[in-house]
Amino acid sequence: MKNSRVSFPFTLLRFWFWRILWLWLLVGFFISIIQIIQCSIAQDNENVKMTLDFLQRMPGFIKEAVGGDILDISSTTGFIAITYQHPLVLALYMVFAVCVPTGLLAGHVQDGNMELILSRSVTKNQVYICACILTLVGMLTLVIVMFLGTVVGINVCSFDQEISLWPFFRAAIVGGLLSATAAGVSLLAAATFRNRGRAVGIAMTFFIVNYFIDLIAGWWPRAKFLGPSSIFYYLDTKEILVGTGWPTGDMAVLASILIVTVIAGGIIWNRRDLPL
Amino acid sequence: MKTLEIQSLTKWYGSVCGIEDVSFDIEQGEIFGYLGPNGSGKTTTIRCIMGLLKATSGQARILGRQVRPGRATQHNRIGYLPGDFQIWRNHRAHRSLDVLAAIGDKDHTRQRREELAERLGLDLSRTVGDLSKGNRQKVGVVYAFQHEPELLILDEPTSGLDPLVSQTVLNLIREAVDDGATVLLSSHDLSEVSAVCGRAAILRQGRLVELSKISEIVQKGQRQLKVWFVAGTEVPDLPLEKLEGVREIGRKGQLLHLAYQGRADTVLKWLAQFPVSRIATLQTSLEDAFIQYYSDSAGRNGGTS
Repeated sequence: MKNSRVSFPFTLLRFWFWRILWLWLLVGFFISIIQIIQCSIAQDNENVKMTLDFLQRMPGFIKEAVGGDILDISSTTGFIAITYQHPLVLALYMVFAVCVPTGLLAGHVQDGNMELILSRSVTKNQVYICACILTLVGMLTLVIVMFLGTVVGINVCSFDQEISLWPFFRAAIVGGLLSATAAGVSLLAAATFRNRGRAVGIAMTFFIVNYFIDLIAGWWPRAKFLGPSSIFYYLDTKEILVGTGWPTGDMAVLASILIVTVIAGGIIWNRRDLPL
Repeated sequence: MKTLEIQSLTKWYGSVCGIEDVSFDIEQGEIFGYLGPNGSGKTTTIRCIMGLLKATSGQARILGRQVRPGRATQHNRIGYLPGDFQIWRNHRAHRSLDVLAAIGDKDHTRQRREELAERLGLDLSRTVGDLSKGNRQKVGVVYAFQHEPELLILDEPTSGLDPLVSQTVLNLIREAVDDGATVLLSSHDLSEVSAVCGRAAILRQGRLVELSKISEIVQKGQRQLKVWFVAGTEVPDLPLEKLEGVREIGRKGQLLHLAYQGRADTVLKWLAQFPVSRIATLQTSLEDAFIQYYSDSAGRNGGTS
């Protein structure tokens, strides 16, 4: 009998990699540029101080939207770190987290290409693993790009005090875990729905609701109890910048959500009929 | 040796039946026709065989191995052409075919692909999105044949193709079988099935209603008679209550066109009482037999999936 072993489809992985590379480059470019720009703004300490004073006087929800507790640090490090949870940066991450898995899984199912892929010597699990690898590695490397943007910005710009990179690295890693968790939720949506639009809609709704829960819980004391129900709650940049250790509790929660969503997506993907 | 074995395959989509209790075998080197109108369950059967759908019950075996849904059972030995062939539209055809061949560990398909494209009159360097529907279907044909598979599963392979290219595709099927391949040909184009297939199954509403040689299916179909009565005599009405299985197709002048099922002697005995000048029998086609399975008298039309 001929060999019917199904080897890992590195060809599919490569093919999909080239298909998503442009999006990765686009998001990575903007995220790193934002970090460098923030550093260049932050090197003018007088203006930073004025800006922070101005932001402190803003209503709570505006303050929360541009950085929240980080502003209380009132330091150059805090000012640079604003971009680590700025809505624009988060939106860029979410674009990648949503577009990649929904495009690779639900999109290919909707377009009919998945039927061709699965008619070759590749299992459904392998297809899902390819999508997982590209999504999760893509998210984590984007976070590294963001951190590198900060490294470049801090080294290019001149500050009147020494800026430690270590807090930014920790913030980037935890941010990467949050991004990966978001990607896990998108993978789950992409594995569940055959319609790309529906998968994107579900994932985006989840993130927007989570974001606003975190925002409201941050400035309205009565809604504080809602905070832990949002995934964004577990990226406490102020705590990371002020503290010296890793926020292991927050990281464990994010890692748990990531694992659960990725495994649940895999089970659903494996059990559902394709392409119907 | 049986290349494909289907045993009591059943697939329900919730409360809707896709196929029910479908069983058939295909021997090595055979071209097997799988007939049925749209929605009769042909594509559902094929997707169950390919492991794309999980059958509710029953099983399929391909080249000796039981199909496990989503596990690519023997896919490196199968050439598959889906009924609705879709391929990445923003890539050149040869690039997409290269990728698909490589996913199946069949990297050395370029020469065969070029041969197929030449025979089909297809320019593989063009972007798929720029190709006409017919040319995209040709890409699908190349995709199914390019790695010289042992089993070809073709769902409406000539859909959208002109008659000349359709003929080329049928020739490719015959040549593949000459080289030892086995073919499952799903179609509702009866002329192509009768042209290349030895046996066929007919599906109606998800159930197999016929499974035999093409010639036997044709035999079971209604036959037609054209009867010219002597000039000046009246063309009689058919006594339908006495002539079971006989129906009138039409009449014009002295001509009576009728169809009958089974033996001809009942009709001939009835005709013997009239002055008949000429009788012509028309050759029964697979189409006649097929239509009979779907005529109102045979059952309801349409299907479920």
